[in-house]
Amino acid sequence: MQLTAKQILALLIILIAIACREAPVLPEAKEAKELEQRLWEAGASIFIPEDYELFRSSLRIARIHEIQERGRFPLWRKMERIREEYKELLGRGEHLLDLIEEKKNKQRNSLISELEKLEGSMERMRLISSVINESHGIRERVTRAELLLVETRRQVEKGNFRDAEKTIFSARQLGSSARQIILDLFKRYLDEEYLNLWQKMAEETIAESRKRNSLVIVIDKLEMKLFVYSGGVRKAIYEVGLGRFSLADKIHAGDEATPEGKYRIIKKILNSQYYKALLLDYPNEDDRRRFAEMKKKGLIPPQVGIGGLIEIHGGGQDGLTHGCIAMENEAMDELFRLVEVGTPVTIVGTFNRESPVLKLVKEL
Amino acid sequence: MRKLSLFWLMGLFLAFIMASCAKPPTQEMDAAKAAVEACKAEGADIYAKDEFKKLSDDLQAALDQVTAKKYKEAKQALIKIKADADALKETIPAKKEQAKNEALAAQQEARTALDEAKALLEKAPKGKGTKADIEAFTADLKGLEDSFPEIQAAIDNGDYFGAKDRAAAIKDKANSISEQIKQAIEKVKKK
Repeated sequence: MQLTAKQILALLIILIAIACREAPVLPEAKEAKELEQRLWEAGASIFIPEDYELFRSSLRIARIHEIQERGRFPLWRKMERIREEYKELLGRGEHLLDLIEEKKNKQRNSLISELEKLEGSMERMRLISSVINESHGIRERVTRAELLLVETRRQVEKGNFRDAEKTIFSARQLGSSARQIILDLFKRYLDEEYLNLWQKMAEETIAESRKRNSLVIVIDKLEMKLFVYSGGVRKAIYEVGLGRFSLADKIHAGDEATPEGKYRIIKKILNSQYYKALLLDYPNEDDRRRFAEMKKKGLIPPQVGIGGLIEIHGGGQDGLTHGCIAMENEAMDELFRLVEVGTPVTIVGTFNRESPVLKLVKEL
Repeated sequence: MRKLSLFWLMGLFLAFIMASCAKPPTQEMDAAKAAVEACKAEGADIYAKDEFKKLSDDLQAALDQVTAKKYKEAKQALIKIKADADALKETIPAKKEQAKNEALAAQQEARTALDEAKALLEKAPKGKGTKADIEAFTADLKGLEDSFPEIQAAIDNGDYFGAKDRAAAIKDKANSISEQIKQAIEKVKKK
């Protein structure tokens, strides 16, 4: 069969028309590209880096296949195969999105749970620090930790979990350090032996009041309260202020601690520097013995004395003393009238095992 | 007719030779990659996240064209990507400067709030009855003061957004402490 020039030309025109025909745009390709963007926005490179990289590689391969397929002679193009490739990718991408969401929720919940736990812990430590005199190191650390927790919360809200993990770690460390200071301060107050001893001392004093039908004073350092008993019955309670290191037992001069033990009023001072004062017989025999033992062991510097002049005085309950017990002037007036020289004064760490502060410390 | 067929055959042969001898646009590829890298080094992935992502995607698509031997289309795309990357890079210093200025302003606000709280505490009546409160507030403010250099450290590391957040937290806390100091002063006055 011979073809004429016209026929060849017509055939060529038909062939060119077919060759120039563009393959239709694949909606799946567009969707896959959009899905990749959604994955990126969801943080795929952070939460599922390997899966995301695999998805991107597969997308690239599909795209290259599409380009190659488009370059083929239209009659031999197999676009359906490319469509299937994209469809498979779409399914995988959607699954990855679910996976990211799942991981995000897990991480967010875990961070929020720890955040709330730490915030609660900081709140408790702030409360504890507000009712003790040794608050300095605690408050400083708690404040810094609280700042970090604010920052953590902000990072969690932004979905920046990686930074949030680092920030909460620093907050946790500061919190632990503050917690350790509190536990060290309260070591004796969490010790059953001390609690039993203090309770015994308080009960003996109250029993003495009952037996002799006399007036006695019991001071609870942790509660910062002074109790007056008459005939074994509680007659009055006053809020008091104590030494700067009120939780510790007084050992020597200058330690700014309030002593613990059984004392007596040895002098009533009407015109004191701090309104009115009741001088106690600190140091007693026990104090002297312990001081001597510690000095012998070299635990107290040679030039340091045992101290003295421990008083119950006026001047206001909110203050920090050098070891004395401070009261409001009106309360001091009342107490001054009630007591006499020789009145027993027992000072204990605490005889209230149910103290709210103690409960807070145990919850740390 | 024989001449015509020969002519067509030669044409086809030439076209085949030209197509198989086309080279990948290496120069444009290198230039585009370098421009995108330079853009990232300038901080585009932080200060123009979305634009940078688009640029990276476009680069990848162009490289895919190269893999598929679509050199002509790839070359055109790569030239455009380089131009886009250069243009984006130009915008980064201004964005960075803006973020830095915002961080510095936040740092100044935090400083002011902290100084105000300290001044307020200085003015608080000092006496035996307020010692404990003053000590507690002093400790709070020391905690803030200790955290303050972290703002500058973040600025120095180029973490302007982090610095801004930290400064905002310090400012809020300082203001809250000022309020507590005011309440404590009022309590003393009422006595």
